Amino acid sequence: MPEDIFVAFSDVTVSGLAMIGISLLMMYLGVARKYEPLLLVPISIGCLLANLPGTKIADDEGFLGILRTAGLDNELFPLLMFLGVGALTDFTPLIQRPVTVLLGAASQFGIFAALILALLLGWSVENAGAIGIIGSADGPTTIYVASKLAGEGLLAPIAVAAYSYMAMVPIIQPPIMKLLTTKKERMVKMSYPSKSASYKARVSFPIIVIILTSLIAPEATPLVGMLMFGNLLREVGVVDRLAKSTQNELINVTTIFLGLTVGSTMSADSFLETRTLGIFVLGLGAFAIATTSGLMFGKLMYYASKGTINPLIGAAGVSAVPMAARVAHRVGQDEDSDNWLIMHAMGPNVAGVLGSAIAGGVILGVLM
Amino acid sequence: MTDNINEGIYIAGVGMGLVFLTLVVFMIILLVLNKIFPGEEITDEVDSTADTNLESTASVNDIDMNYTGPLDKGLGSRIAAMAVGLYLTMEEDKVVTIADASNEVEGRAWNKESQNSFWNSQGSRPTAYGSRTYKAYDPKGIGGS
Repeated sequence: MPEDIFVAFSDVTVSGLAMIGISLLMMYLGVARKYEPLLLVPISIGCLLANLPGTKIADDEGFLGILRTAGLDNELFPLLMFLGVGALTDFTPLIQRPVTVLLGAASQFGIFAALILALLLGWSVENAGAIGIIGSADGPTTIYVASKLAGEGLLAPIAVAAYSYMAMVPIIQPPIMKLLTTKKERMVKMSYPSKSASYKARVSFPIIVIILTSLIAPEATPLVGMLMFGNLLREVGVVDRLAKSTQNELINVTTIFLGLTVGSTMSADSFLETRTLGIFVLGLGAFAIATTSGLMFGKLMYYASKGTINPLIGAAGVSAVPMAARVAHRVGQDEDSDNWLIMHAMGPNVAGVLGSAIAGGVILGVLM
Repeated sequence: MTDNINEGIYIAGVGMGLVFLTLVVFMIILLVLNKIFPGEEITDEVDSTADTNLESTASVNDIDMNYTGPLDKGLGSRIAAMAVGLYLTMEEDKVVTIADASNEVEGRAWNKESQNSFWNSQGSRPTAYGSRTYKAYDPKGIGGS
């Protein structure tokens, strides 16, 4: 019947059009501005498809609903993402300079500070935990924790805020870094490790981390286990096919599914609320505090080491890999173009990945 | 409200404590691993590079630049060998001239790796660190066992 063909027009709403506008904005940011395009493009399409009038693609019976049930509601996709992240992560700089692991721990303070701020603003403790995890600057960890803790409709704004701020690390971090460090501190040239990381150390490390994590922070074991399994595939040297698959095909396919399903949760009912704005503000605060705490601990190490550690690498303790390390390097080069900090910053950067996964596990352990 | 705040402070205290505890344990593990399985000394590549450059310079000086005769005195093969050597050197490490310009840290493996990582990612968001440097930054290549 002709009237059935145009039935979608009757489903058009102002809020639905607003969500389509938001999806197109995310598409613009991903494509034209290159803000985390690997995630923002699928998320924007998921959001667009879910908000098209009359399609019901995101309903439980629709294909996005089926994907959501299969991989997001049960935390499968974030864990598969972490497997790929582990296969892409080189822990060698950390193994060569173990002390930088402390910077990865200090930066996690942003998570807990944002949690307290959210509580002060009246959020429930579970939602506050889900919002605070934005400060981890780690997409899979954020989605993993938020999908378990966040209330109805909060997952999408939390995920979008996390990825947006990760893309904006080069904008958020430098002013804080310059404000909290002196020119003399930023110009510190660090010495290079005298020894390489041995094969046995690189292979033993992921196995020991998995076992210890299960003993100290069992709730973090799924995340850390997948991360370290991926890293083991990379380092062990006898399963190159598996390592390459996790580094490419697996993480790429999972990224598509994860982005689509997260985007599909962005309905007008849940997204177009003032609380979404609150989540974005708190997320920004979490990022800023994480950067600050890493920097302050970096300054502490600067004084403790009698000026041999550049405090800028503390800001790389937020886990946005490798963006945060690059930002630390760039800010250092602003003062001295011959100062190459990027490899020094990679140590705290990968330690931040570990730290954020453990922090997420701790929050889940306490709140669930 | 107050209960919530107290709970938040409790979670923050326990959380940061556990995160630090776990990562400190990891740090100790790494220190122990480095003791048990020490890596090899990272050799400074400056000397070998400098020697090669000197040899190349000497070879250039040996060549009679005004020679106009046939290439049967080995001159052609020497020029070809130098050209191939130069090309391979440039292909192998395109930032060698930048490293040479640095007085303090030139030639060190981490420094070269830093430069490679940085320059290779200019103009766009870089691919993931591990993926990008898989070939260029092989720890075995700098002395891993």
